[in-house]
Amino acid sequence: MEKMSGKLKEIEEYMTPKERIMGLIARKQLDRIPVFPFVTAAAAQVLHLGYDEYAKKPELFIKAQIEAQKLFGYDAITSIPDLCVEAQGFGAKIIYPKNNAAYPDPYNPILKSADDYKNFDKLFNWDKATRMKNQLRAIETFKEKIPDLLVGGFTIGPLGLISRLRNINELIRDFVHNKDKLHEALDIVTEIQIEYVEKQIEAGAQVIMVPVVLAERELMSKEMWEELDAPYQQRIAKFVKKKRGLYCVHTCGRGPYFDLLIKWLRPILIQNAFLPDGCTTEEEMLEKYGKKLIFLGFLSVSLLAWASPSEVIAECKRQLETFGKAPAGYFLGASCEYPPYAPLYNAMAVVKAARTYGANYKTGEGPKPEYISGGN
Amino acid sequence: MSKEDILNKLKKSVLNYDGEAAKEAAKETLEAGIDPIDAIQKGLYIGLKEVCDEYEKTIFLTDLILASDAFYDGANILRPSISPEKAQANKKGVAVIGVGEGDFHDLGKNIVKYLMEAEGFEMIDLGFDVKVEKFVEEAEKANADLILLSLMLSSLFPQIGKLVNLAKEKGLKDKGVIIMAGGGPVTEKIAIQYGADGWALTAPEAVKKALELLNKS
Repeated sequence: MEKMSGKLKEIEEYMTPKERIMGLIARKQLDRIPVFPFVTAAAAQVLHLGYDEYAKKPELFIKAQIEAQKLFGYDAITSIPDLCVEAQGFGAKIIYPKNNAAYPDPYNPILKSADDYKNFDKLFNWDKATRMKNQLRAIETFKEKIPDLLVGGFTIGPLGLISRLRNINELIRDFVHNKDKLHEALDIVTEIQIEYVEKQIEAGAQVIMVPVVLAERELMSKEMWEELDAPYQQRIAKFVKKKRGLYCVHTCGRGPYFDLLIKWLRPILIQNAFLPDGCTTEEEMLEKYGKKLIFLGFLSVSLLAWASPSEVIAECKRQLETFGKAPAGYFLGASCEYPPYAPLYNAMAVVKAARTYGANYKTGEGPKPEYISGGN
Repeated sequence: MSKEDILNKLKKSVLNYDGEAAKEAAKETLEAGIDPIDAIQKGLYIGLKEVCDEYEKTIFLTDLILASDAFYDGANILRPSISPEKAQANKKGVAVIGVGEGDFHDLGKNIVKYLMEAEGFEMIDLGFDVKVEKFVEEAEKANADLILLSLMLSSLFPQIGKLVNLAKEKGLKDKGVIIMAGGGPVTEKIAIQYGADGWALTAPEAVKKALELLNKS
């Protein structure tokens, strides 16, 4: 970032959010760096909603999302209220707490034993998948009402979905003891998720985000990921690209395998909360992967939840200085979902930082903040 | 087969995640008249410790679960043969463990529990979605040395402070009860900021930290 003295000013925007993001990918000169604090469930706060009604009533979810985006001015919008949209379509009982994001009933998993994998196709029913249909409706509405915005679709990925239908400890045992049965289920769920992605793209989603949280050093070996998750994730990735969608992956554990994600999935954007496997500093991450991936965010959820707006702005400035000149580009934002309970002034702070310190951005060159003339 | 051979067999069964071999070696242990405590500590546990020492290098969370399964397959056969007096004499402490209220991510908590149990702690597992009042109540009841709170959701961080304050209020801190907090998003700074005595990044480190804090107290 250019070092100058004087009083900084916020940029006057002349691009739409969609132009800005597509411009980032095309390496064009931008009015400012794109920004997305990943406000999902937290948008409920804008309408003073409990998370239960926000998750259960699609019209309120849509209204809250649109209002939050208009209020803060970030560049993308998400169509999912929580991470168990697809699990409901497979018959999971979803619990809707008033004060936190929804989750599948952990006491009553749908897949009770490995033998249940063989009946996996019988679990899913489009007619009963009301939450998935609500997501499609949200995408259609966003496309119609805020056409200048990049609308994000989402699928939780094959193993991600199964982890919401089966006790996680048992699923890990299945990785070794019931591999064949698990592969059968993964094959079925991948086909359903591809169909779901297709419907989202047809409804207007331009980006499809997929969590790849098992491709991480603390969870499983590279060999195991390549055997159990990669081939299925790859099918989804290829499909998204075939449909000309922007394929984006999300990781949130320690030591994500960026090398394998590039080898198998070739995402255009990657959102990560921790440094990739084999890297010990941000500079190293930039050096190794900055030419191949656009980094989306790196602002920690703890910072967004517990720091003051001035601390958030200072961290955004630091990240812009570190990642701003990344050869493939940088997209300022949260490393994971904006904490649902966190005060929204920090989302505002992130956008303000993008408008101030991220002004006049160009991929590979970084931002060039503007100063009030004559100011000291 | 010598005692050394059997202990080695027990260790290897855990290193190979082979529950059947662990069961078989445990039966041989009892038939050979070997002290079951020795078999657990110098056989099964050594295997589990070797697995833990490699965590995040060549060993992953999946391996910890599978090695723990083999450990339990063997230990469950050996434990009924340990007299209550001997079990008491070998106990390193009592710990209450659970996942905080509103959270059901119990994978990390279970690994810590397995490793602490293998180390010689009596573990009182409260499961997930546990209120801080329950942690304190159970710690009082069991005269626990440690309370271990696991959280995977950053929204729940304030529960660490609530637990520490309630433990103080009920006199547990005066009795020297140690409170540790951990889980994916919990950092050392956050745990200490809310008044916890300790924190660890991984399950094997949690066991080391628990022992270190107990030795200091």
